[in-house]
Amino acid sequence: MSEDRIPINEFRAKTAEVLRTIKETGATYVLTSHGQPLAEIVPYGTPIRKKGKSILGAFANAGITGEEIDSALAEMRRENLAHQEAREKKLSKRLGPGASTKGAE
Amino acid sequence: MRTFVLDTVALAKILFFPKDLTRLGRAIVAMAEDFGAELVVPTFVLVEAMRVGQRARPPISLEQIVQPLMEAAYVRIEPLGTDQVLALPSLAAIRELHDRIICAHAITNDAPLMTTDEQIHESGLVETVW
Repeated sequence: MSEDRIPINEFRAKTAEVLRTIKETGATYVLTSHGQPLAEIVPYGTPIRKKGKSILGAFANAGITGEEIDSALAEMRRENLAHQEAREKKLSKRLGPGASTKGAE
Repeated sequence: MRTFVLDTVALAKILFFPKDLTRLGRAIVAMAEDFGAELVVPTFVLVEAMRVGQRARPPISLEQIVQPLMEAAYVRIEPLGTDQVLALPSLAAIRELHDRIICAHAITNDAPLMTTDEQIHESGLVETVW
């Protein structure tokens, strides 16, 4: 869909033509006043909700590669498992023979 | 509106290295940005994401990581609650507790989990996307 800028004075003079173009082509116009955007004219039914603030690549310039991310998380996963197993052993010892903490812990 | 739960790899790739996302992954984020989907980030994922922030040059703090998530209306940070804890026993086939907690969020939200984790995918206990 195209988006054209049109000064407000020109829009006054060409209103019928602009509206016909919007109807036929689905074009969007930005009305300007002294060169600055003032308002938008969009086809009826166009969602007026804007996009949400993007989180995609929020830290893309942080100097960390995909491989480094994978490596950091794999290392953490190994540590997590070691901690988990140590804690399960400790709990089993404290709870006494026959106690199992697997699945609960 | 569809809901997707993000695991730590998914959140880290979205924030730090979106090139590693698949076309589907990018489409899910784009859909969320258009308010057509909600992204749920378990608080435990934030704890793990801290490790990724520490690897950045210069390091990125947890507060910095959380800020854009708080500002994005389509992202919901979800604390671990009783509902998730009650779902844990059904996830015993998943070896690591932290993975079980993240999967529990997917179950309680009745939502797919965005993850690359093969063990979770193969368990069939939660729907996964990547």
